[in-house]
Amino acid sequence: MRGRRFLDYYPKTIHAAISTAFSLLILAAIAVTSLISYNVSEDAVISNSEAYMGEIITQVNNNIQSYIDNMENISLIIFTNKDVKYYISSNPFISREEVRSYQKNISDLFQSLLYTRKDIASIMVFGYNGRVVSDRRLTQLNPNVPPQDQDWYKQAVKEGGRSVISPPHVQNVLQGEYSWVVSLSRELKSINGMTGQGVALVDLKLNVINDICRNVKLGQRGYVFIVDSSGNIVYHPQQQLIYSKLRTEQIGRVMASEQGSFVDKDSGRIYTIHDTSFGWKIVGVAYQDELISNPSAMRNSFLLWAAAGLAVTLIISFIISHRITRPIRRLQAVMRQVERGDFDVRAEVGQAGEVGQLGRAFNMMVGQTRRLLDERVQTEKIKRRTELRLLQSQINPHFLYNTLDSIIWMAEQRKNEEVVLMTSALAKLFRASIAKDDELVPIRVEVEHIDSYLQIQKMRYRDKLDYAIDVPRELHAFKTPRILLQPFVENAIYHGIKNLPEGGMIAISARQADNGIEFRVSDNGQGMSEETIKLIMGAVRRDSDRDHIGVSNVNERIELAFGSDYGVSIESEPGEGTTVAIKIPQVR
Amino acid sequence: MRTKRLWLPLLLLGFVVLVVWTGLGRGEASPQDNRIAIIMKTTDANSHYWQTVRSGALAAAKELEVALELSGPLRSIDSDEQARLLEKAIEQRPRAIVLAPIDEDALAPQLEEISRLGIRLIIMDTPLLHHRADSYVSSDHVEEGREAAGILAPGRKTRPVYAFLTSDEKSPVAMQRRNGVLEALPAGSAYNLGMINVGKSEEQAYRTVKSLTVAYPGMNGIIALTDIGVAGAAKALKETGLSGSVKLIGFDSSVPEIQLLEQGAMHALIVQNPFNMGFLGVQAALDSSGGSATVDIPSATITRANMYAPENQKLLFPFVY
Repeated sequence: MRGRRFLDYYPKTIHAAISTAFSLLILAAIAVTSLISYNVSEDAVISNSEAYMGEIITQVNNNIQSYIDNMENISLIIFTNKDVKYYISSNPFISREEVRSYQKNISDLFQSLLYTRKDIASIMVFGYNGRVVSDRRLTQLNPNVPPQDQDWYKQAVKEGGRSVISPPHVQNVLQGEYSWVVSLSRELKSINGMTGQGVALVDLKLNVINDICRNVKLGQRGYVFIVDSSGNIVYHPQQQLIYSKLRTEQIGRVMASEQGSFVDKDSGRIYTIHDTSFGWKIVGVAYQDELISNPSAMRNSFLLWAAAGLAVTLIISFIISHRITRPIRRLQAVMRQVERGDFDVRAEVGQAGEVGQLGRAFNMMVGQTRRLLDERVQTEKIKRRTELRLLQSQINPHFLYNTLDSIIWMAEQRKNEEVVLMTSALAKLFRASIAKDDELVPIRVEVEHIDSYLQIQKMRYRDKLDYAIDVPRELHAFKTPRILLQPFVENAIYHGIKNLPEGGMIAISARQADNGIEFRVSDNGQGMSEETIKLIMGAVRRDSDRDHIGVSNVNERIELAFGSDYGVSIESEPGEGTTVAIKIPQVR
Repeated sequence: MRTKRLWLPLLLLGFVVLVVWTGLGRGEASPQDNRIAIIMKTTDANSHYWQTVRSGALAAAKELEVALELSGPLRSIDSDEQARLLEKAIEQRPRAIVLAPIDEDALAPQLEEISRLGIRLIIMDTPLLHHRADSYVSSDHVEEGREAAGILAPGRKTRPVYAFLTSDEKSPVAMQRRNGVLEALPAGSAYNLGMINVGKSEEQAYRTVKSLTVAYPGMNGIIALTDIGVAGAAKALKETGLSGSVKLIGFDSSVPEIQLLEQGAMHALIVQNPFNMGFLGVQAALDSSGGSATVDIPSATITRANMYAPENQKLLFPFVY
């Protein structure tokens, strides 16, 4: 349960761990750098665009300024023109003919000025003495619109000699003409330069300003508008909507701002303001989202490059982690072989790094284990042999005492033959147990040994015990470990038959089984349960219990000497008897 | 074992592909969806009114980023040509059609086709009487009539005695204006001398008004539903010296009417706002949220006193760009 949420998903192999760590690091690094560079380039694009807007607006200003300058120049020509001065002067000595010729001269001058400048709609002079002259041959004033009541006239008088620029308006002073113009008006002074004598009017066609503003491209939806010094709209592409209050413009904020830029957060528009020398403010409006020429293309190219970089680095990280972990995985494979019990393998020690050291240490460990294992096998063998020798050399004192008791008893009864028989059997038995330490003996010798033993036992138990040995002669030449059968026969007598009142029978046989020899020791005694068999066959050895040492010892001896294909197996049925099968290989 | 080690890089790769795919998928709007056809009564460059509608529509198209296809017959009475243009527009299957109908009856088959195809239809200027439209963008002509009535009888001090002059009795716009006047001046509070059709003749209007001044010396108002009536009536009133006492009220502006206003020979002009009509017409075409069915564009009442106010200059002297 501990750490279930996270640790379960934590990569389990080093390879996976390295790959994961690399991938996450690279992902984070690429994400961060992409984001930063995207923002940086976005900022760069925006500031570039702002600079570009500023340039465009300056251009618009320069264009408009040049038209205004031109009007100014024309008004100065009028201001300084002697003919005009005479024409509007209150000098009563100028005759009517002279006035007419002045009028003609002035009109010619105005016409020639107008001829060179297509942007000028009209040039007029209104004298305070009631005389009017214009660029037209015949000046017909609109009788319903007295010039003195017009704003441009009143402003010019008020300013006393300085030029005044009007907002765009319909010029209605000429009969039947209604054209949209921007007017520059200026009060004309007398020759002494002090008293005002009239007002000069120069009208600029509004088309000119409209065309300049309309042709400015500030993105798809951007536009230019102009306000005058009191906040009235001079030009706006949607002036009508603003008048109808269907649309609002940031005029208040524009009026309050210095030259420069500000961003209207609500509508996402950038306002770039340029102050003109004549009081107007030219404002460029661009939509922020349009400034980045193609934001989605830019974002996509960033995404694509980031993805490509990520893909490449992921593959590389996978390969690198694969290379790093390869020696470890090799070592792992070797370890698995050792796990399965193959101690002969050795790890390749190719490099001097940690893994190389690990491999060397592992090889040393495997070698040591192997040596220890061999040593242990050797020790076990020696131990078994010692045990066996102990077993073989020790004749059970009870057995010896009982046998000698039997011999004494038979001698008292004068049963000489039996005494001789028993004594010689005992002698054979002793000879066999003190014979030189030759591991394997011919089966013939083993059969003689077990025969001697059984003879003694039979004499002791008389009618209670009978036995039969059936070992074919052709097997006599093969070899067998010494004292192989005695423990089983002993068990059969003491546990199987001894307590039976009617006695029992022990049959010993041998036959050739598949590439081996199988001895069988059967009795028709008490038999035993499965648990007892397990107890006997189990490796549980108690020093006090010689019998059990015998059975398991024999089994282990056979397995040690010949391998696990050979050994002892017991079949028993309580009340029916026990059969022990001992299998050994054919050894000559 | 092999697959277990591969899942993580594969998962990350899949994630990256997903991110890129969603990134690329965004922000791609088909321009085809934003095509709007606008069919005016006329594309005549001398018609300031319709040229201003055009300006408004173009301004909206720029602001709202739509592709606009502007068309209209050369003459504002050519309803057959308009039907043909409408047919052509329908074939293009635009997102919406903005139409200023000359004659509803001549367009009947096309209007039915539009409603059958489910194309959004916006009507400008002149209402449809027998067909359905998704939106109607126009001045409220009835309200214009009420305004005219208000000028005739300011403060209800004098009982208005007035006549209508018209040149087209079938025009739905003229009818709505007349109804507005009648609604504001019910029988009893005013005396209506009736509606006189003067045809397309200024002379006829002049004679009609002259005889009216003789027949009804108490007459104090003339509502001219067309500019032809205004010119004739003004001439007649000037000759009889009644310019000041008989209020002459007209609709929409022309240069002669402006001059009459300057002279004081005319009392008031009620003018529409064609720029806003064009702009709001396109806006309504895009407004698929099914907003208000009628977009009202307030008209302005222009008198001699306010005619040169900046906002009214724009209405009276359309600056076509």
